[in-house]
Amino acid sequence: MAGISKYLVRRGLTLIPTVLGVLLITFFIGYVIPADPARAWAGGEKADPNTARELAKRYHLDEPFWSQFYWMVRGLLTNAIESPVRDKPIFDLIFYRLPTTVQLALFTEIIAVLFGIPMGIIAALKKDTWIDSSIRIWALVGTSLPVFWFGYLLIYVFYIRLPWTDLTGVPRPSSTITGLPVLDAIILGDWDVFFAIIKRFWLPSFMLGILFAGTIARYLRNTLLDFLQSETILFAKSKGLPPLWVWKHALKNSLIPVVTIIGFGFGSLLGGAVITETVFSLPGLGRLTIEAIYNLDFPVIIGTTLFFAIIVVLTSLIVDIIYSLIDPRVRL
Amino acid sequence: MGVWELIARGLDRISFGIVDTVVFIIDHIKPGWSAKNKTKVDEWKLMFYAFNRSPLGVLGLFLIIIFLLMGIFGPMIAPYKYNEYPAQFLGDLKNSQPGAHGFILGTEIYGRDLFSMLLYGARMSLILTVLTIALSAPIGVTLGLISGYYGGKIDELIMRITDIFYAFPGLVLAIALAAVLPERLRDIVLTNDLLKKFLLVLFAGAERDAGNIAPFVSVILALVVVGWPGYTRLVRGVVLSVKENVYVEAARALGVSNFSIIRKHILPNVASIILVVLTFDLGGIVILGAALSFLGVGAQDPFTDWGKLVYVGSRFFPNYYWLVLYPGLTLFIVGLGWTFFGDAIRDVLDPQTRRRIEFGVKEEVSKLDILPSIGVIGIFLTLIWTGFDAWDVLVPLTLVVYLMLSGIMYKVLEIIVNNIDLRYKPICLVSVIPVLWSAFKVHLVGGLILSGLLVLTYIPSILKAGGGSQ
Repeated sequence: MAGISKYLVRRGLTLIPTVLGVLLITFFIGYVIPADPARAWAGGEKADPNTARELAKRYHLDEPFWSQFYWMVRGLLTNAIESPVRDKPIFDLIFYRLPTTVQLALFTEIIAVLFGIPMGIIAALKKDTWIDSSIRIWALVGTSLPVFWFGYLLIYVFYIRLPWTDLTGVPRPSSTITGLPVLDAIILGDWDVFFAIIKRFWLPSFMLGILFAGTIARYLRNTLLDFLQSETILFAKSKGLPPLWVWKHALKNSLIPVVTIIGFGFGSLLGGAVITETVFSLPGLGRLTIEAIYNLDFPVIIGTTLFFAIIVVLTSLIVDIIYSLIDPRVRL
Repeated sequence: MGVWELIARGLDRISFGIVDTVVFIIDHIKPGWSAKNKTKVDEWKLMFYAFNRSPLGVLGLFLIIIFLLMGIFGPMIAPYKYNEYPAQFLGDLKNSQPGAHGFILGTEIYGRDLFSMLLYGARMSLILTVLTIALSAPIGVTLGLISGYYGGKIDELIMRITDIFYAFPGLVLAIALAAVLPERLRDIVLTNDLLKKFLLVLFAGAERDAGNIAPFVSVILALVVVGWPGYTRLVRGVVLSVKENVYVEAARALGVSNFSIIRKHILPNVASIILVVLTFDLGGIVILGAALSFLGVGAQDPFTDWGKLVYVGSRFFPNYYWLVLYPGLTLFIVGLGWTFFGDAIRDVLDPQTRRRIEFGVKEEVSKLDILPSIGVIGIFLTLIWTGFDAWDVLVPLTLVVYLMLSGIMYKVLEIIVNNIDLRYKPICLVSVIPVLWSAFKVHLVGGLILSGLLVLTYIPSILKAGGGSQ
């Protein structure tokens, strides 16, 4: 395992310019692009000049750019930036909303993997049959289905016609241990809350998961079929290994790239949560972003945008680490 | 089973005609061109041949053409203008329903005709996709070519920049940008007369609404910012592998300039991959743009696109179901068109699969492919035509999901109990009953058509099962 620490250091170093660039872009969005930041932060065209002046002072908006940037980074690091609308530090708001979004993404991944991997294997087993093409079509449909529309159709069936889900509030257990309500509920043995959470979250997760499953299935199918034609498998076959054993090998190797898909999916699911949370009225991070945009709450916009970016960077780092652990070739 | 083959042959005749005409025109400009490039022309024909054998691709092309026609001519043929409110005094639930007072798809909350709004929305979507691609693809491709070809420090720099953009979830970055850009853009649009006129023509808008175009234009800019890094990464990857070829080495040794090498030897190799990705992206952009409008950052009143219609309608869902149903459905169909088309194009441009199609290896599957998709899309269309309440649309939707899954469940069962032949799938057939029941209840003719289409959907599975297991 000598190579791995070296690889990690190298991978970690590339993060530095990325994080700096991300900070710069968020700075651009919040400070540079608005024609008159102070007025924009105070509510745009109908802003009260006094409020604007006060905000400009509070957030150092009347200083030169480098100084504004310094105050932004410093404020972000110490969580000193407050939302002018809600009067709370932005990361407090973000961490309060985070569990909902993480739960949504987690359930979605679980459903996507549960459906996607068997679908992929069956598609490869039954290559070029109608099942294979059905799964292919499903993957294509999944990429072109407007989630915000499909969500309403599902709400109609499962909320208005059938009382199978809830659309209000988010159940939380009596005390927090890990911070993730569903885990806490399991640890506390609070099954009522656990089932309430499942009832609240299953529909959005199922919708996103079943769409994402199509992508996973298609990807797995293709890598599996490619690998089955490789020399490794030819060798295994010519040595007379049983088919089941051959398949086991092929599957093991094709699941490696699928890990990447699932990992990167996590990032895009968090981003896509903006839409899902709006449709299913889940008070998560995405909803926070949208509310901030409606209220012209610039500090929160900066905070959430940055936070999403950091999550994506971290997940891709974790994916790379997992990848290098299971596939030693990457470390070279 | 020769129905598709007949259609494909008809399409062959049309597309070969197009190729021949193009060749004829080129021959006029450059005499002797066709004799020199016979293999090229044959390859073109072969591509069309392969494409015509993909029912999904042809379906996709058909949907795209409808979308383009809607986008170009929609505002001209729309019964009402986007800023006309013909039904504003009829605003209660019953009077705004589809079909009431001669409004085919009903009226929206402010009293505008939904059908006209859909046509105007098509124009908005079309301009959005065209402008986004036209701005982001050239930037992305150029940077990718430079990065991949020159390598070294320049490559490192460009890659680090794309890394930064990749760090944001695309949707989040686009939302943030689209939220802050309009203020600046509004001033630019209002002060620049030429730009204002140009945008008003593009979006078919009236002079006094010029300021409200800015938010939609900022969505386009946001999508460009989000979009270009994808092309850069893709192109760079391809260039890196193409660069290793001997003919590039040879050209360099002969002293051919870098620019000519990129243009003559590298770009043609990258082109087909860009084309495939572009078609897929076109569908994605339509939906992403609508999603932004749905979230409230895109189109601003009185301009409306499909996403905005869903957003406004969602507040009155499910009572005013048509405000959500039809705009979303249109969006879905357009997205599906691009995706199906892109999938077929990928097969056609890949020489390996092209040969497979040519020699008929893939033929049988393609024939079976078409029936379920015709069935499923037909179910949608029939139900819309018959004028049902929304429940009846949702049953087939669940059926679509079920159809995909039931096949899988069935196969799982089959694999487990390998020797038992479950020829006719009673479970699948049972699922059809509620759909038929609800269809017949509402509309007799519609119900009949629907049952016909459903049978069509199940033919492949029954045929497959009837053909005996291997």
